[in-house]
Amino acid sequence: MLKSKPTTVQILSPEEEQAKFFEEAKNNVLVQGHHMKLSLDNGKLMDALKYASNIINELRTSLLSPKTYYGLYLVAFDYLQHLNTYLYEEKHGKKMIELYEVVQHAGNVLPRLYLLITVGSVYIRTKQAPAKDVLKDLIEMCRGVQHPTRGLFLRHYLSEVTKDKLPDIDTPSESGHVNDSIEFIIQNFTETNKLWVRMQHQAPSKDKERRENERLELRLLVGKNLSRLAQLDGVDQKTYSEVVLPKVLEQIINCKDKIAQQYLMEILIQVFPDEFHLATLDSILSTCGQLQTGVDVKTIIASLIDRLANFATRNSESVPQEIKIFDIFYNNVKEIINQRPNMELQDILGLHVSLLNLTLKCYPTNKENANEVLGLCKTILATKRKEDITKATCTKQIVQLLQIPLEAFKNVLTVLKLSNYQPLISCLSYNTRKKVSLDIVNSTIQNSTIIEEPEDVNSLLETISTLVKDEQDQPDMEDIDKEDFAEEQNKVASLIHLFDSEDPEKLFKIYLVARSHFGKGGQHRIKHTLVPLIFRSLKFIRKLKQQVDDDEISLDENQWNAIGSRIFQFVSETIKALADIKLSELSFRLYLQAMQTFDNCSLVSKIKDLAGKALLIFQEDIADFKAQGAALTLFISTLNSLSIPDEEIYETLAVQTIKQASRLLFQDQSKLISLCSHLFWVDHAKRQYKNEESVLKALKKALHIISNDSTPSLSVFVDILNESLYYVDKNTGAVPAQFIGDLVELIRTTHNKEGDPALAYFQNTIKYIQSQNYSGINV
Amino acid sequence: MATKKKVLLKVIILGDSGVGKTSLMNQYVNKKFSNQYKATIGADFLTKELMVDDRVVTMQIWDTAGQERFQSLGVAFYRGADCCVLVYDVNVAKTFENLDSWRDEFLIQAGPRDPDNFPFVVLGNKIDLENQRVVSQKRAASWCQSKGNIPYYETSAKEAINVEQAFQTIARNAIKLEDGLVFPIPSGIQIQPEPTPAKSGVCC
Repeated sequence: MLKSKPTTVQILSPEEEQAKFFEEAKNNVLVQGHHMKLSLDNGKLMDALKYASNIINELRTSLLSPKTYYGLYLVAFDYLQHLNTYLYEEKHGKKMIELYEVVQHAGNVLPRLYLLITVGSVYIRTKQAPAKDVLKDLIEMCRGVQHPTRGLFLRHYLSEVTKDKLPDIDTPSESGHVNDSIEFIIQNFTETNKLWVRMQHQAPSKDKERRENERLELRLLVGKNLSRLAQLDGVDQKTYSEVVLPKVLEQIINCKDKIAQQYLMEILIQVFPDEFHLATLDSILSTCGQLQTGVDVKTIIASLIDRLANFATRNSESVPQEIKIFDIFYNNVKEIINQRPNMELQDILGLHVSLLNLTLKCYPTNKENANEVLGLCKTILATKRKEDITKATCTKQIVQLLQIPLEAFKNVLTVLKLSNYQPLISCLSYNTRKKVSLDIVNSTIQNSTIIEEPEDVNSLLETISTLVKDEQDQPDMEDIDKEDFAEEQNKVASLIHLFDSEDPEKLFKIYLVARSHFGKGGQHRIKHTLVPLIFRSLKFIRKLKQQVDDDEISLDENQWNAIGSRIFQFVSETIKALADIKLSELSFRLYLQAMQTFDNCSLVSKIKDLAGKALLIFQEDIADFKAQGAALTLFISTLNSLSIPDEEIYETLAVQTIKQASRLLFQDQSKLISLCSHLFWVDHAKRQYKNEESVLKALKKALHIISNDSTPSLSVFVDILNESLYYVDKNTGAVPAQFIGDLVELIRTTHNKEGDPALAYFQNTIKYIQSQNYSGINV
Repeated sequence: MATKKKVLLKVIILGDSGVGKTSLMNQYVNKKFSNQYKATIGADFLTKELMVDDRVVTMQIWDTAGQERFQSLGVAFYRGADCCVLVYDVNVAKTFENLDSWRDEFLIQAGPRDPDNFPFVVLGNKIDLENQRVVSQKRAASWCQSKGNIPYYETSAKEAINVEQAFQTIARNAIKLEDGLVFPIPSGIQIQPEPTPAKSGVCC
């Protein structure tokens, strides 16, 4: 029976395996390289060539991945460079033509060609043969290697060692012409590309992914050739357009390979200068239309556009006038989108973003181009399904299309003039529309753009209508964050401060337009938006009055009253809108504010009406007792401050006020009635109105009310006492000394309870009375 | 008189896309400059002979693609470098901020024997566009100092400012590495690591 030998099987990961293969091959190269150098040091050229050939033999391996192979190639390359230097500099006594023959005897094709290229490059350098002839020979010989990786690296070597020997503009004609170099490089490019594309079809389909990865790693060796073309001084714009580009594009189109087309188009765009692209836009773009299905044309065009847009930013003065950059891109992009019906919507939109950036960077003031891009987008979106448009990736790009003009023009008015702007917003979902609308509002605020024309206000508010009024597709109010909502509305409201015009007619029209939009906002919005509109209108009429008084504007009284009536109507209707949604205290105060403004502006006829409206709210909608007290106090002081010349109107209002005060709770009623005494003693610059009898009557009534309260409050008594003292202080004669004395006595005997917190208030008042030494009052 | 052996120095130029690596190399080697931007694919070298003290030196200068996607075969060419030149654009802050990652990447990929003393040189390029400058000389110099006193030059490939001087320093520092000399660092700046106790060969 055979005993099985113990075996150790070492399993290596692919990376470890590559490292192992690499180390082995590299060590062989180092050993052979060492011998090669020794031989060269000893002048034994033939031996050195043999060792060099051994070095290259290591490159015949099929075990290495492209990246590892490249590492090995670099080690070998260093030795070949050494050989190269020796051949050029040392006196080996051989003519280059002889060496060129000798190396062709190497047994294997790969070492033979590497050595031939090495010698060939020295051959050119020593000028013992015309460059063009040697180059032609070498490129023909390279056809001998058809293995993709080995062939690609061999051709890379050819390109590397000949790069500084290519005939260019300064080369003497016997060596060759730049056209020889172009032909040489293009031939190398074509052959390299063929080897590279062929890889795609060599692997069984299960290895497709690995093969494609290898191809991607190797792509550099193909693209490098285009970079070599770009390095030739002799390749100027004309040569590029007429000779180089047509040949390169022909190869790109004809290879019919997706990976190659994608990569080479991008490289072409990156390695040649902007000026060349500007001169050949049509060729490049029309080529894009001819690429295989599946090639990401959008990325190619976008990278070209981005390059040129950056170029335009850096050299604004050097954007050539004669080249219609935008038109060319616009027409081609349109064409390409038509030609490729399967193009993803997000890619189509991406192209629009690039186009818009391009035009705004190349032609920063041109609005028509921008509008055209938005228009094209609008037309395309009209053919798409809503669920495609509202995908996050697409939405993002449409939002960008809408933001770019705001950032570029920095003026919302310019943006609103783009007729395709607003329709594009309409394509979006509710939240996105709101976001874009906020962008517009923010941009207006940040740039402090003053909007002077009613049509512009109209257009702005229509454009941001998602923020201005309810929309069919909005979420339930309960699902909206209250704070966010308030913040948005406050922003919208602050727009009103940017609506302004020197022309009063226009400004009033602006307010009418603004109200017609904001008025549709519903109860949640108008409390934010209508209030500043009211304040602005009141400010407007005060300013107008000032201008009339200063004779800047000439109006007779009738005209002024007519204008006043219009503004009055506007203001009172607007306040009513707030009153209708039961913002009672707010609208009450706004009416009082309006009363003062109209009074200041000599439009007293409106006051009765406004006061009536305010009192109606007080009566019907202010339910809270505390709020009632505060509101009526404000009303009394407002009435007192006005200049109402018509006593009959005034007295009616005063009587109504007392009536309202009488509806309050006993304590508040008493206090308010005592305050009402001020309605009968008006003494300021605008008006004198003195009715001593009514003053005293009010104070007595107040006292009567509080005395009949079940638990009369000391502080209210003292309040009434203080109100009475006011009239004594002012020497009105309305309040007799006897009244004060009796009141103090009443409080002392009836309501002076130990521990009452209002006691100190009372005592301080007594001290005040004593300090004043009123005649006839002794307390 | 014994002639010293010829020296071949390998220098790698790194930095973000568009900072002017290719232009610096072309200005130094070919005395040419072009405003046209052409991206570099992979790596590309030029050689230049120069004198350092009394020695003829061949410098192999490797210009590299600043965009990673153009480096599909990897960066095996870092190996064997004698000096690494880090370039940024004084007018673009990001290109300066990325120097750290270029330096780290180089040290990882090239794997020099003594990473702490490997010679780097930093070039702040495009100083001809002075009014657009965003990275101050002070900021750059202090970064260089913090990385072990890296020599720093402000250059203009366009106007050939400091290009010659910078490459002289590059060659000089590279040759020191090649000669196996310790890269000298002024004593005041170097931070000495804590001396570690020598490992005993015998275990008790």
